[in-house]
Amino acid sequence: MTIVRKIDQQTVMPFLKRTDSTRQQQRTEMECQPFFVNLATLPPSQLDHLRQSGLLMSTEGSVDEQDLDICLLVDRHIQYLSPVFQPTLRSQLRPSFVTLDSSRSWMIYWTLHACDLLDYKTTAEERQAMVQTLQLFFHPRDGGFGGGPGQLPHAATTYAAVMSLAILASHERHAMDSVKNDTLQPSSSHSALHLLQQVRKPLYQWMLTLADEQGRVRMHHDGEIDVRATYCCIAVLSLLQLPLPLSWANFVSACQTWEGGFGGEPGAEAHGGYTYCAIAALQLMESTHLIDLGALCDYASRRQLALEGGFSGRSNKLVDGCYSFWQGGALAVVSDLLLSNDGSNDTKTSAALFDTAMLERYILLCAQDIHGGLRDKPSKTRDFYHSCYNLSGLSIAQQYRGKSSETEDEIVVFSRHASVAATHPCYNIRNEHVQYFKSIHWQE
Amino acid sequence: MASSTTTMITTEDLPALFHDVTPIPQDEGPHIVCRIDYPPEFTIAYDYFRALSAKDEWSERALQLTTLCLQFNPANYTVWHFRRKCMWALLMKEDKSIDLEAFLVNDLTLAAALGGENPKNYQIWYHRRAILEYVEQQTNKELFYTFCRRELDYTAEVFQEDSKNYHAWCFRQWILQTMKAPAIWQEEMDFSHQMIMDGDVRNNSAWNQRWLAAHRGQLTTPLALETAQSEADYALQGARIDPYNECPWRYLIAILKEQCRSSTMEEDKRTWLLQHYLDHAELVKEVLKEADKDPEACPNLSAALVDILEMKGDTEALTHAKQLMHYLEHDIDPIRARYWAFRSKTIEQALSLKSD
Repeated sequence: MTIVRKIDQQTVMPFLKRTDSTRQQQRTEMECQPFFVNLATLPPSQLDHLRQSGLLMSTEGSVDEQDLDICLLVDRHIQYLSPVFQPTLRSQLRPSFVTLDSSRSWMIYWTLHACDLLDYKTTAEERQAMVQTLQLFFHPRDGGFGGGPGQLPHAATTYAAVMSLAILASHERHAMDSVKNDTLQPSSSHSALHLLQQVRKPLYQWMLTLADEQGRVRMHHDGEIDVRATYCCIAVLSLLQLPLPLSWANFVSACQTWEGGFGGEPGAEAHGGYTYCAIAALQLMESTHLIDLGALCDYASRRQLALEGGFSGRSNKLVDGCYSFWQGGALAVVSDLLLSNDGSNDTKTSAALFDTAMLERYILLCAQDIHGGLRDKPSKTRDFYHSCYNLSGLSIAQQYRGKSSETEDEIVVFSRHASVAATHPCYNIRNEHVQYFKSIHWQE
Repeated sequence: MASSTTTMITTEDLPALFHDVTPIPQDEGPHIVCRIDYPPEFTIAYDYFRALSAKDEWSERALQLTTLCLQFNPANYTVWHFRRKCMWALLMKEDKSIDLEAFLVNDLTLAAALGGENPKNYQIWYHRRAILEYVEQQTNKELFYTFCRRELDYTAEVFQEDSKNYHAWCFRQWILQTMKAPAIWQEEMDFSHQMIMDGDVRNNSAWNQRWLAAHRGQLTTPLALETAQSEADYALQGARIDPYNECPWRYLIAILKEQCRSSTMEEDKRTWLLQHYLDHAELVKEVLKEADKDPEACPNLSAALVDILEMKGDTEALTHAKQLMHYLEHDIDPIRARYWAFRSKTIEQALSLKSD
């Protein structure tokens, strides 16, 4: 039995001393509060307006008139995101996007993965174009993917490229309707799988050169060292069934701070992005025993804001939709570890140790742009990055809703009209793609 | 603004400056996706960059070209890398015609100007670090310290605009660690104190900095008991200013946890320490009462009591912790209900082990 919960709690963050932090927090609460109006108290004209906007289901036919569940604006999000990975002349990004010229594989990943969570089916033409594009980002001499053609290989842009190719390979397999066979198909030379087969070994060799003797990993040669680099490499190596340099785990564990979360380097402030990278990398390396899991759980659960329902990136900072995934995902991983009985990696628990319904509420009410796309918070504009991570966070929240302790069957659901596909908390691509990749026998 | 000691070229200068170079267009392929509508000036500059990059020309004119390229896209890490190659090549030249200090100061000024609109750009901050590393490795300690001081001042300037700038705090930490000057840590204690007490008592970056400074940069060595007490007292001082503020409470708990886990801590000292700070934490409720607030409805205060009680670990303490967690779960911190339910179970397990 599903119970849809109407959440009425409104708990502003109290304070005794006014500072810059409290002022900003108050402003944020004020900008979010209007979105949390109790829909049941709205006059019919306003409800009609919401129905016209697509945020509420229309009342045509025999649909329940009292259905006040917020809708995910699937079509509009796809309309906003899909042009980025479509090979049409019309869909060029405007000139101001030159500042993201070194992040084109990221833009492909953010939009492709987001659409994938919304069940978008790529066409053969789209897939081929994306594979060809990503191929151009691969640096033949050094062995990694850059952010654009001819750019130095970079750990983060490599993660984005490989995850995109994994999604495409999985779509390819579905499209071919292939016979169940876990050996490598003699695929077209333009396929994602073929490209991954070609780059697999060079990627491994290149990644080893990014690390020093202490297991600290750089983003690129002559680039910054931080825990994101470790994660990006480990996620790729793990997905492609390449050996994981377990010695890298020591540096990661040294990044856990007095707060329980992780910073970018030892000593740096605990931060949502790095916290996710650390725990996901450690989980993939099966080295989570190296850190204080309880402290991590304490830290991440404290990042959920009582009024907004979303997560902040750091203590005394503001809610931001992207942390729905960074902190929510970290909590999903750590909850699995703390709650599973036998401690095995494969046991997925049903609930994460945070308020999944309140997170869904924030994403659906505050992060959605009515014209398509998702954002940090209502006062910010939509972008591809926030669209990706809000939807990924929504996926985590829905997967980890869990059961209430009283009734085994009861699941608290914020909305029945907002389902997204299930993303894997450690890779952030759909679970089924990860399963497919675990079944592949690569040519050695 | 950028210094004028180096010529800043524009797109118009390019054909003449690179008359002997054939520009290389970007390899876009026939059916590319995620295309950007590049402005013509951008394309010209980057076409020349590709040509210079292809032949590893690390020269003065190449350096100037990277300035132009970075103005368009300050996040192009490939261009930054190439820029540094040019810089080191020019500085290594035998004629030693370049004043190293002025040259590098100019680049730091340029980096600041490029980052003006976006102080969160990784590449710009890494460039500053790379320059300092170069000075450390290629010159003397005195000059290195001069640069370090200037950069510490620069981070302080950045904090005026954004007191929590993550990159600036990381860079600051790196400078302190690399200087290897023991006296610097006391200065940093003072700096973090200013940022907290004069600036914003909720500035978590400043509290994080204090942790590092109190540990004199040695994060794996627990504080001496006396220092720990001093820091715990400081935390309580912060908590009394605003008991709702998470930072001082978490700082206090971390200090106590570190002491309790220390292998050199004697049992009776440990007991005393925990009881002492439990009592003083309770006293912070007076601040709430004086402000006409419910002293039992401050989640961060109650959560801190729970943590200290759990560290104490005796039956009475655990029972008290359980009661507090019940209020947190059901009344005062419901957003974390699942988390408190989980913690309650852990305490219950500990209690049942005791009664066995």
